[in-house]
Amino acid sequence: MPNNFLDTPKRSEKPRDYGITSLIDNGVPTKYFMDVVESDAHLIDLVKFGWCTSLVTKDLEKKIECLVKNNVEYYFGGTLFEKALSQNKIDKFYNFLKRYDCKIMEVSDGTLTISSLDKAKHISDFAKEFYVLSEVGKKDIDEADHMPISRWIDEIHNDLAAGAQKVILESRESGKSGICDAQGNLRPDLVSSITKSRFRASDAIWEAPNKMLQTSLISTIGPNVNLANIAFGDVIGLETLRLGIRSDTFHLFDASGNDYAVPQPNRASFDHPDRRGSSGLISDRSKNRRN
Amino acid sequence: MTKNFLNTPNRSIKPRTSGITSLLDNGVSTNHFTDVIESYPHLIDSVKFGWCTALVTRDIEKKIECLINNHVDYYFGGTLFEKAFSQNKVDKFYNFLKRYNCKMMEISDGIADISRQEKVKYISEFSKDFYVFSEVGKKDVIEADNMPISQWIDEILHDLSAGASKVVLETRESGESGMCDAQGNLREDLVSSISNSRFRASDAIWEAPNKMLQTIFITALGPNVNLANIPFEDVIGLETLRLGMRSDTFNLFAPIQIKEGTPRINKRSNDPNLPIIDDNSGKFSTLI
Repeated sequence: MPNNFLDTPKRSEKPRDYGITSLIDNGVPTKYFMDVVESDAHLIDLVKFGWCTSLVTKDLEKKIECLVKNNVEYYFGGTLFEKALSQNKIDKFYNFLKRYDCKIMEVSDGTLTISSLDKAKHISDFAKEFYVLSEVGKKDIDEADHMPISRWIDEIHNDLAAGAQKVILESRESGKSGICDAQGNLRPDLVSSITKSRFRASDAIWEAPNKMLQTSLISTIGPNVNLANIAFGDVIGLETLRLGIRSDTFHLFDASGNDYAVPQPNRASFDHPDRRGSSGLISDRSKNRRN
Repeated sequence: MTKNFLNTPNRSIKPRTSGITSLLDNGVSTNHFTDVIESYPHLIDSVKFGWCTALVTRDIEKKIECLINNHVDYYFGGTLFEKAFSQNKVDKFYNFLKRYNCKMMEISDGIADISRQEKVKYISEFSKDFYVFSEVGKKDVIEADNMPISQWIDEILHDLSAGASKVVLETRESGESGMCDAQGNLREDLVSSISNSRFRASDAIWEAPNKMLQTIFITALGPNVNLANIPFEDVIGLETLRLGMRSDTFNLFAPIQIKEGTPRINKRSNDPNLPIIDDNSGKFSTLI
């Protein structure tokens, strides 16, 4: 590793609970997948096999094997859960997760309409055996725009209370829905309401599929903001943005590289007992398991 | 090497002082990096490790070793100098260059607030030990647009006389500032003024991160224009642009000659294993 002789913000180290970089595999070829993971394993916490790509990926096992070897966690996109639910095949979906030895899974209602009661039930069921990520936000721009901010906050709180370990905030693969408007700009009112509400910054993962969104979120929330849907080609670029060593974030951090103070109010009020004191993404997952 | 049986412009060969192709490594994965370098060392003169990516690239030594083995030069992006400058760490920056056995380095003032005097001072200091590229232009679109043409020319001449071996003309990675306007179009008044002023064409390197800009520079300044910030995926594509054998530059170099009489149509066999017949010599040429 090169010696970083500059003053840069403190970055957490793997296994990270905050400062997570989660890639999206939208179907990249196998050797390229392995090349990126092996080259930049120190900077990659998670890989999501986007939507249902896993079902048509011949080399899925090879990809997973590479992730395990390089201490990178993985999960399947929420659309796989939604499609299974829409076909009454949650039991087969469960077997599929077990078959690939998943530790992490995603529950979402971005495409399918699921009542909040049902969503909470699925979250709490899966939380018995998995580290559950729940996604909040709609893929459809009209629906997302009509979702009042209070409902975003409610859903986040409900999902965490139901047992989700982290909440993923939707911007879609294109970065043009959910937390963004149709032009791809971050919705500042939404972001500030979310960051000011009573849960920990580390509980949220923001989908940031392009440099503009990555820059906005790092500027607003800090260098260790949890980011997802990062493209395979962007790993190094994103890390330099976080460290303020790329022109877009060059002036963000002061000369001594001081981080922004990340507000973490009322931490205790929202701590799930199982999560208290946990460090690292899924280091405490054994506690959540059924005997 | 495949035999080029077409009429194409003369291209310089390595080590080149003009006709340079410089790639931008924006953080490509290690095997992809070595694959591209080993596939096209004849077409790649140098690689820039973009901005400060080198600091978070675990395999940087492996990448550099591959470049050395393939006679490709390398340097770190100007942002590394600027960040070190802004933190009063130019001495540590110098050690970093030495640590990686750099022969080349880049000085820029695209982001940090560096005075002309300071920039010229650093150019002349570093040029004692290194082949110095100095970058001219601003990353910020508004600043770049407000920089009068006379200032571009002035800076270029000053940097060269201070000891810079070549001047890099900024367009940014996205191709949307510096030599280009916010829409990504080339500022043609600027290019013609710069190319008409008192320095040699080979002293300038133009940042051309996409096909549109590559085509514009090749059209305006010829097949052997020095180009930088070329993506790893574009090496072969750029070379075919330079040689006028891609649709974008098809009509540029060789005048179209239509001979009288019916054009002869070569009957090609469908068997891919048959050698290609070279019409000029009548001999067989093979694809190596």
